[in-house]
Amino acid sequence: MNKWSVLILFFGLNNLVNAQKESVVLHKNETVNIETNRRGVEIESTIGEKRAIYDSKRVEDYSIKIVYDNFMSVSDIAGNTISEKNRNVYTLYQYNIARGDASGSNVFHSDMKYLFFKMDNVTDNSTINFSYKIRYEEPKLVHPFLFQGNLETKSASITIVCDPEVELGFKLFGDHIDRITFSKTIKGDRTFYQWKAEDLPAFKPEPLMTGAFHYLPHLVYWVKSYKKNGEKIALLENENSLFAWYSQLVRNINKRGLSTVKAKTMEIVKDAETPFQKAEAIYRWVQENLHYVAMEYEMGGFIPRDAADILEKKYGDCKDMANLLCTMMNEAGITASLTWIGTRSKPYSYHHLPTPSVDNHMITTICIDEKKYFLDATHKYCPFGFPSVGILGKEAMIQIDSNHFSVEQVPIPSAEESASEFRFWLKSEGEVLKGRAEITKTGYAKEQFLNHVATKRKETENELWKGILSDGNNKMKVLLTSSQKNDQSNAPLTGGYNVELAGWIKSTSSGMILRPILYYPLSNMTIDTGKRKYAVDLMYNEVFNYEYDYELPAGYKTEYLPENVSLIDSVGEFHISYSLENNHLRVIQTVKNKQIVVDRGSFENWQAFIKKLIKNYNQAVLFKKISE
Amino acid sequence: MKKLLLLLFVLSALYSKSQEIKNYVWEANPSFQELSEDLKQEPAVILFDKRWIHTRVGEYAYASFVMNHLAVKINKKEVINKFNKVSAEDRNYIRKTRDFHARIIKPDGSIRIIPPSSIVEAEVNKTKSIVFEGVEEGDILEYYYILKENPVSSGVEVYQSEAPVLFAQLTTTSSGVDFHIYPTSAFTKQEQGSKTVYTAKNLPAYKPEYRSADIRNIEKIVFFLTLKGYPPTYWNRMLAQSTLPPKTFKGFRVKHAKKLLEKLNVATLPVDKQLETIDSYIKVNFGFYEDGQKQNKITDLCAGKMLLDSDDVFALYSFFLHQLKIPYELVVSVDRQIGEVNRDIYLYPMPHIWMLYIPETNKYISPFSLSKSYGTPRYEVQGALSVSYNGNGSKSVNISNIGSVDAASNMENNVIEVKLNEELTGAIVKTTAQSTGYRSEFDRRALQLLAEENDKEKTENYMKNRFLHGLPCKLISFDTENTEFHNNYISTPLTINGLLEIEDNFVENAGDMIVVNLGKVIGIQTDLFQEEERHSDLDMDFAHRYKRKITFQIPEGYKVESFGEMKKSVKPLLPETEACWFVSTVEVNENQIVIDIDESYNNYIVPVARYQDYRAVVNAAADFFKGSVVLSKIQ
Repeated sequence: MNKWSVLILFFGLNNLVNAQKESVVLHKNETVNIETNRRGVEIESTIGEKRAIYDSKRVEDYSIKIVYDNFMSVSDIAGNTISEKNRNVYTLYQYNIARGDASGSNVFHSDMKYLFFKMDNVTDNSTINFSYKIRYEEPKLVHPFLFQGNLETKSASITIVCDPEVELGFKLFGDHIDRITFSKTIKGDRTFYQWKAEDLPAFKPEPLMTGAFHYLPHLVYWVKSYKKNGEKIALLENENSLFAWYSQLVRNINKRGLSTVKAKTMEIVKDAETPFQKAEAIYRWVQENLHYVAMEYEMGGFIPRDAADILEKKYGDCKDMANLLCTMMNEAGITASLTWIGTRSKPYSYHHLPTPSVDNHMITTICIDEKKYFLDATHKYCPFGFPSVGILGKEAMIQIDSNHFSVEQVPIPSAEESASEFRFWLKSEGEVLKGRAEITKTGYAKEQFLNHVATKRKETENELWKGILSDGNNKMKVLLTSSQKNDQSNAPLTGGYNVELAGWIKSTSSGMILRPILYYPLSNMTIDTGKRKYAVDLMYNEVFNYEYDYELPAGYKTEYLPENVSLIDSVGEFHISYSLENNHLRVIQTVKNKQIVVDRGSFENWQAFIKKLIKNYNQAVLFKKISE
Repeated sequence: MKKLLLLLFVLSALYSKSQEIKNYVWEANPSFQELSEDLKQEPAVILFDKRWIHTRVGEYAYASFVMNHLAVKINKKEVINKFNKVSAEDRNYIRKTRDFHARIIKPDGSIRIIPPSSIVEAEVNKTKSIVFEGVEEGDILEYYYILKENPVSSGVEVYQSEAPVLFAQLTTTSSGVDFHIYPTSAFTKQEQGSKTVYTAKNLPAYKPEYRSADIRNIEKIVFFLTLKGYPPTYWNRMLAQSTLPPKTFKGFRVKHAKKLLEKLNVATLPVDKQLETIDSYIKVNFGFYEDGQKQNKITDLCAGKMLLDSDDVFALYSFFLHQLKIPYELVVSVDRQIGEVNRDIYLYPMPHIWMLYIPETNKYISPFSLSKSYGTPRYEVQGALSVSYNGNGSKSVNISNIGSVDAASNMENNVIEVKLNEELTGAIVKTTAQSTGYRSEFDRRALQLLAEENDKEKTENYMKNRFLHGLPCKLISFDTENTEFHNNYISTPLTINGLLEIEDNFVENAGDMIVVNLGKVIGIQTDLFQEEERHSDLDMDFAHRYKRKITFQIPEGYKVESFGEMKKSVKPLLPETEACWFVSTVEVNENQIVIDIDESYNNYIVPVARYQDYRAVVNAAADFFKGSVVLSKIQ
């Protein structure tokens, strides 16, 4: 029975019904006016867009949603539809604009809202125009300008008009920036900065891609400084200015008093002897007992809540957990710092982009014996000492004190630290393989499993174990005999199970063929090098170690053993060896990836690696009957 | 005076009904059912889930009061984050949140009230939300809220979830409206004065299974409202109205419809041909507007492809049937995986499927499905209960079950020729898929849309999935035959020919032998190896059959060592109408291996009692997919 038979046809049909001729952005433009006055800096932006709607079935192309928060105000929304047939112009009426609360993923409460309108009277081959103004109430929190979107864009431009007292910072990111022209002109006492791009294709996301902002061509701009009454006022001149602002935001936290935090900390660490043990105990406690709830209302999205409050309420978001963790560590005598960081979806560095756009997360950095550990308690099963997967390799801005900071790179654990190991002892009974096996998982491999299992009912948990153990080999009958999650320590997750695999051995006229390798990690990670555009995010480095011990069937000898093979490459390595010892066939298979992201320059290399890997999975051992 | 007293009495009656719900409070000192040892192993248990809806309409009133009161015991701390956040919202515009209370009951019985200051409010919709503070394993989280909102005319209250529910209850009271309530079987009804109360106890945690009718099975209460004294929409009335000849259309005029009928020129044809011609024209030329899309004024229905309102398409069929004086019955049912049609009334908000049945030809017209041709009923309602109405005949509502389509009518024939490449690392596969029945209807519609869109990549992906169901491969070329819609009527098989290349994992080396994973050429198969137990019936959508012929060219210099696992015969002993089987035979000729496969599922429903038989057949197909032939070099 075909898994795909009816389902793919239905889903295919559903997709196709909506897949008509795509609309095109004929022109999009943003004009930003940056003015200084006695209040400081004012930034107001006028955004306009013109789209050709070829197929009016694509309602989403003329349904406009403007998302904003309390740091912005949106006004002067206007628009019209021009019918191609009769050139009638239909105006957008204000009563057609709806307002609502925007719910971000994982954010329980915020000040995000939206304005929504669907252009009226759109028929095939209509043109729509719309425009609106945004006023930024907080000049540090301006939005970037995206040249490219999900529709083909014929022309996109942004013009920033500054008064002479403003020093502007700006930087382009993403693909196609070679197609963006820049000009700077001075007219009167105004400086005009303009960027323009033409003929940009529609942006089509791909599975497993790193964040879209790595590829979408976009401009980030910011006010470095401005003059007020002749005096220069730094806003975001460089990373020092950014830190100064961050530092000021966290200056007044923990005013409630820390006696409860201290008492709890002492209770947690009472049996710990070394700083490392203390740190681990505190980290585990926060992971286990605090729950992630994001409340990001206005400055609540930037300022951590009081540690004593978080401790009492037992919930918080990343900065709340970072604050509590940091406070507890300090109470236990461990050097700890609040740390700002951008997740891997953000392609920026602090040096190149000293604005709040550079980051979106907060963690705690501790230092023990001159070694730094980047701790993220929002990940319930992240091993102690490991950075969370989403920040691997990223720059972290670590607060040393209220005036000093350092920027350091988060290390990427080696593949050996996230290992999945399987050991099998098997023998054949006819064409059925039977035996037992053991599994251990460490590091992120363990974390991934625990995340799946954590909230499930017992019945479902057993099924999940079976899924892990049969991993890609659905025919494998598995009976779990022991399991130890060790979810509150870095000790490996372990499991023992009985295995039965029918039909795995093929009989021939003179003997048997056995395919000794039962698992094929990375075999599904092929890249279509001709088509794929964006880097593949593998999340973390991982190693898979399998050891198979086959007791040779009585009355048979080994006729053919594949050759041992090893391949070591910059993107990965694998080793497969076959040996015979005392009537046992031992096969050892090790596979690892060495890059957490397969970037575009590595596609060919990676694909060649995977192809060789798959070829070496497809090897069989021949047993021949011993003639009497 | 009497009138004044009467008025006061009426007002106080109204007042007291809505006051009851508004005065709802929880017990100051709650007590909860003790959990059994089994339930203590559950990550969380919903101790009770009580809801109350009071709707009042009339005499300047237009409001609903909705009360939700829930308590959940947290047995495992890992699930705290699933239950520790509550938003006081229902399904319509909230005018006021009258009450919103939350508390934690600790294992030692102490109660911690979450302070009102912890309640946050969304800026625009004013929805109030709260996070339970200081939650630990073993706590009971309890909340209730009362909202005043705009009334809804219908709704579905779902009670079953991934946590067991010990006590579920829906109370309804009303003024000026009547509630019509349709619970699933777990609920019992009680009248308690002015309250109607539905209660269920010990609902197990709901576990979805492969192809189970989850929406149908889950314990829930469907309701709708009518104004007091107004009856619900009975079928006899609704269907009688719906079978009257349409006098108007939304998007065009009657004269346009007449002009189209004239153009179709069917007057002298037999009924079957008339309907084929009409159906074909409509399905090929007309499409439906999307939600939110502007509907154009139509001035000429004969002007080729255009979009119409779906109700207009239905009315157009009805109009033509009346014009041609073809007797028909209006048939209404519900997708059997969602629920069952009510025998007496049109049950909001259940989605219904409407068809027109032609007794003379014993065929159905499906106006609301652009892929479904005149002929068999929609696959979703095979075997389902239906209500039908004959506007010309008895003028009464009949209840019956819609028939089903046999597997032979939903056939797929595959002819697959396989030849290894020169390096013996992969294979070139020439495949022809011929389909009839529902499958071919879907394919024809998909091909039509693909052709219109002209997206090469999308078309290629569709073809690759069509042939090999997600197995990595390269599509070299393809072509199609009999794609025109009218082929649905004469059951001409739709033919799709493809030339593909499969490399990954197709050939394995074993010294002088090679293992050819020939089974892969039938495409990835569903398997149920791990799904040993089953709790609910399984629904396959429609009965179907596959016949495949695989011809494998043995490469020169090689002979066949073994092919045993390509031979299968799994044919459980079952009555013909429920039978399913997977049988493959192998013949080795000089330089070819020829495999014939016959796989059939004669019924789309697999009762739980037959699950293991069905599972054996499905797994046989999956085993075949994993099967291989071993070749050795000729010495």
